[in-house]
Amino acid sequence: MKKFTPCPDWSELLSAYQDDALAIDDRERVEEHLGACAACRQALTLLDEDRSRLEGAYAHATGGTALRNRVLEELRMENTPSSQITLPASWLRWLVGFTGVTALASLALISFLLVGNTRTPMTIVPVDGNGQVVLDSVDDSGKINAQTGIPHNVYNGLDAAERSRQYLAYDAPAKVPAMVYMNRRDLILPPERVSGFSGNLDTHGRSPVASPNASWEDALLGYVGSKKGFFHASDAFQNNSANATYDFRMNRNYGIPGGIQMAYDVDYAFLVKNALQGARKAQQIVREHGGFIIDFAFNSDEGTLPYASIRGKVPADQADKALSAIEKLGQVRGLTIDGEDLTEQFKQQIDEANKQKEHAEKLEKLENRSRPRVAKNIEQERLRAEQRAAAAKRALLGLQAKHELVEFSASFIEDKPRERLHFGQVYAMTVASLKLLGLVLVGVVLLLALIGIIASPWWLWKYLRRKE
Amino acid sequence: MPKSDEEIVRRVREGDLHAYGQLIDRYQQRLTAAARHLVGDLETARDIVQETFIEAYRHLDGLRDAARIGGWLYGILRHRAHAALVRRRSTVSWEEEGAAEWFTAPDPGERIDVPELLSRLPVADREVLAARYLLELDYDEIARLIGATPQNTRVRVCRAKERLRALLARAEEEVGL
Repeated sequence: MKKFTPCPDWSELLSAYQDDALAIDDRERVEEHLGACAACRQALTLLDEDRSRLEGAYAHATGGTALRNRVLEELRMENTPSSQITLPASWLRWLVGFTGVTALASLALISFLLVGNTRTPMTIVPVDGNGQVVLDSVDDSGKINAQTGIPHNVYNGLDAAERSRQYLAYDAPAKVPAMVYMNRRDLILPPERVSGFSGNLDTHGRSPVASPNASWEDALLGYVGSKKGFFHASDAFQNNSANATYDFRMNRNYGIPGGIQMAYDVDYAFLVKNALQGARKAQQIVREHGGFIIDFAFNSDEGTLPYASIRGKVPADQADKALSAIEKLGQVRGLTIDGEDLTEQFKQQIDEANKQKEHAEKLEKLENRSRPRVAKNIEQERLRAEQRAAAAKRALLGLQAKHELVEFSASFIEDKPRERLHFGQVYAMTVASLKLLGLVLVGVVLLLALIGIIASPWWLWKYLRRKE
Repeated sequence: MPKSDEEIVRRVREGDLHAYGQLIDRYQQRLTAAARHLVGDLETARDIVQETFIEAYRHLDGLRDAARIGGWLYGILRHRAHAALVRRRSTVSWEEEGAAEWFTAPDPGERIDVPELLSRLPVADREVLAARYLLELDYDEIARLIGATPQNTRVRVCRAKERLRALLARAEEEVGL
């Protein structure tokens, strides 16, 4: 029996020496020891014999050509003709992933473009054949509430007071102005005018249910955003108020007996340096004087004179101030009242008003320097001058005591086409570019998706084969 | 002119299946021997080697150092062999497989069925012995395969050799050598 009995502590070194795994120093040390130690030489010999025996035991353990052929045949089956020209699986996985991500990004971009397209900053409010703003019903399926600019679901969750606040605070005439201003006009109705219909109004405009505690403001606000609601409101007026002949479809005159009387069709034309800016300033002036804008339009197509127009109503008692302020926005080229061209008269009146105003200003200065008694007389004269200036304007507008609203329109025209790019053009070009980019992206996605569709079955098949 | 492992691997990666045949020729004997050493019977060993080569081809991209493909192949084979051992554990006893031939062989030197004898060694010893003697892997490669340090690997190889020697010595004693 040949036991492995090297010197103590030498077995590992001998084993490593046999495997040629020693550093030079250790190898030399082992060789030196082997030269002097028969037991270790015997042990090393045994190790070599064991190795030979182990190697010899498996000398015939071979798969031979049969094994190679089986392996290669298996691999050839995997490498189908289509896969000869395919790319590595990792590349394909990236492709599939990239396709998915790109598709999602493109969908998001297209959605953005489509949604963005519905909310252009400049909108001409649709009007019907009578020139009246179309009472378009407001979609309450999760879209933006036209009267408040906030989502319906949010709006619907607000209490009446907050709805009123949001409603009144909303200031986005260029977005969806029609309903907003139609209803702001309604709000000009003083409470006493509608106090007759206490009760039987649906404050939310969805169905005409009894709501005895509804205030006039709640009632009007409650019907915001629903054409159906408006008609209900009309019915309610008719059914519950002695004065209710309110008809929103005949809104040139409110139709309430003894109600608001209106002077209308005051039509200005201004020559300005910046049409859009002029119209916006006019809009601001109207609001500052308690009025409202019915529509707002702007056009600056290439080759045309930039043109902006607004139409609105102002309370009659503020009409002088409001319209006077508007008249300063540009050079008045025309004024039509009720279809009659009063441009020349207007200019005369303007001159007269300006003269009276200058006279009043001089009197005011003189009044400040004068002794009290004289100053009092001067003050009276100044007030009379101001009254004459105002009366001149009121006479021109045809305003009478019964008039409570003045409907007006103002056009602001620039004297030459714009040479520089303005916001609208930049916006349009940006949108067009994005659309083009979207189309290119869609094309790329479709191409990648096609590649993915063609390649994925192969990839899946290969994957499943590997799993097997 | 024999090509290096790196050259063959490069060509296989370029899609040359014939080159893979060369690689199989180069390693199949050593791997079959190692598989036989690990699992005990030749047919299972051949199946394992076949699976090893197919799996290696599919995952050739994962081979970082083509010069060490021998160790890499042995790593795949080792896992396959473990799976095979688990599958057939306790289903066939050593006595049933080869004891009869061992004791009836005419020549004393050939009476010892070494492969069968080696199946008595612990699997861990068989792994390092196959790696060292049959695949001729160096200690660093063996250390990576078994997840040990080179120093610890040296010790484990030595212990495996000692146990092999003891096993063979006992077998020789039993057959009267």
